[in-house]
Amino acid sequence: MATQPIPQQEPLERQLVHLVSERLLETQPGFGADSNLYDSGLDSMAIMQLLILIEEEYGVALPESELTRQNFSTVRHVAGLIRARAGAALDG
Amino acid sequence: MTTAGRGVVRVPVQSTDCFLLAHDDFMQRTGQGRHVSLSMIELASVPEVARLRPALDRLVQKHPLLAGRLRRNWRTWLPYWEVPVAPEAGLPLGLWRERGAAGVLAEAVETEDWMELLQEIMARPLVSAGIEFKARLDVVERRDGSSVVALSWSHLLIDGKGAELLLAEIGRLCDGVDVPCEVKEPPKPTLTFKERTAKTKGAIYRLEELAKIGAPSLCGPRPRRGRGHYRVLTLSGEDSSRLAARVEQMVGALFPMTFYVACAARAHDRVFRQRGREPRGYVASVPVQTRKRGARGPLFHNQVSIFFFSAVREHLGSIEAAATAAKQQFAEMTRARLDESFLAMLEMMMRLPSWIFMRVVRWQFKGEIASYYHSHTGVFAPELGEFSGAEVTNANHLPCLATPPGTGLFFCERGGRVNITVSWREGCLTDEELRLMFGQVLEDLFGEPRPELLDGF
Repeated sequence: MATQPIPQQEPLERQLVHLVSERLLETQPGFGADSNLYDSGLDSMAIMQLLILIEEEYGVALPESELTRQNFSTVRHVAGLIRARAGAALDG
Repeated sequence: MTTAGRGVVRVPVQSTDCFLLAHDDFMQRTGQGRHVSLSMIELASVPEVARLRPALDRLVQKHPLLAGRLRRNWRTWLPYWEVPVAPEAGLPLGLWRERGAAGVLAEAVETEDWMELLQEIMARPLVSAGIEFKARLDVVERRDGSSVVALSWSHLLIDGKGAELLLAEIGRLCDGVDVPCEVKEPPKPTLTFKERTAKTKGAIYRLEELAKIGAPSLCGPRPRRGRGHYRVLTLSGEDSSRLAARVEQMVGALFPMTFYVACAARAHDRVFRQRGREPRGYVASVPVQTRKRGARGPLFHNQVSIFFFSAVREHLGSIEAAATAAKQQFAEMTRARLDESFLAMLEMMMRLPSWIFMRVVRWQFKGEIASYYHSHTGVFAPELGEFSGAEVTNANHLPCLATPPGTGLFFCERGGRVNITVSWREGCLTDEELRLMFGQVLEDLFGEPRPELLDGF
């Protein structure tokens, strides 16, 4: 699986906003890293698809313990999870 | 869309539509009527009919597919919609009044049992002004001043989520908001025949794997004549919150549908065991949306694929084991992109005449289609707070199904309350079995029996 390096700070958020808008949700103008994903229609299927996209795009598998509503409420939260996980993998 | 002369245009069908077309034909041939479901919203007061009528006229002008007819191309045998450019009638509207109601709906016809009436309407062709519409709307004024708006819709053109979006569209038109509902989809890659064939493999392997388990249904593989029956149970806000906490604890807050898949399996298993049967397992057919979430459309065509969940005996002993197994299958099927694979398979079958199509569908499970139908459609039309001037207080679906499999268990939510619907065909479920099924569902939902919620069943 070809994965890309995890970008630092904003570029990752921008990439995720693009990914979510293109592949998963019909987002409204003004949708950004801090917009509520559930208000935009995020459901079980879309979350599972997002998890798989994250694995495919960034090579990061998010553990069960981090799959909470709060962690998936905004793109910024999801980006934080990816960075933390990628960092943990590097530290390990 | 192509113009075909005589004031009509041709609109292609989509791959899943062909299954529903074959299924609708199958229902007609076996004396089970048409595949018409109903989506119902409950309102705090009576909607304004003066706003509703022009909205329904505009609806058909804006979406003439609602008055379309299915045809087949005689050369390719591909089905298509023949759609009038300028339909001459609005969506049919029925006005009804429960006996003892105040009579705010002046033109309404009095009815003794409105739920029975709506079920009769579902069983009849949706014909009005000589046009076979693909939907109709009925409004019932209730004794307590509230009302019910029921959208009957043909599965040939509309799916469950589409029905919610259509109700929201009617609501917008009542408010004078006339905006496009189309969604810009990213372009799909053009595949060669070889690539398309390769794409179907995931679905074929999955079906072969499931065939080893079998898909026994409560009605058995032989189609039966007879009407559909429906029962809806709405949980209180307090019970629904309690349930949400339990679902979160069991499968995590993000994948509630897997918990409900497990509930449906155990509820059916309870009835099988009551009949003295313990099959090796079951196969549930669960629709998954292919629409982009949060979109205003597309309103029409069956924008779904199917995930076939299995529930084997060793996982049916507890709701925890059944839910864990369902969650694992959900992850595996999503990862393997089985939703896309099933669509590719249906696309390969689009040219088949309906009777051959249904033979192929039923061949894998020896005459059965699935053990039962199930869906958890989440929050019902969250964007619809008001409908033609009346506040929406609850909403749910009555999904029509055929024999086989003859039974289905469906969940949706509205205003923080969970609605549970059991659909069954005449002769597939006795009154006692219905109580057993609901009883098992409630026990799994709450972790303890809740017989008090079954009063009146």
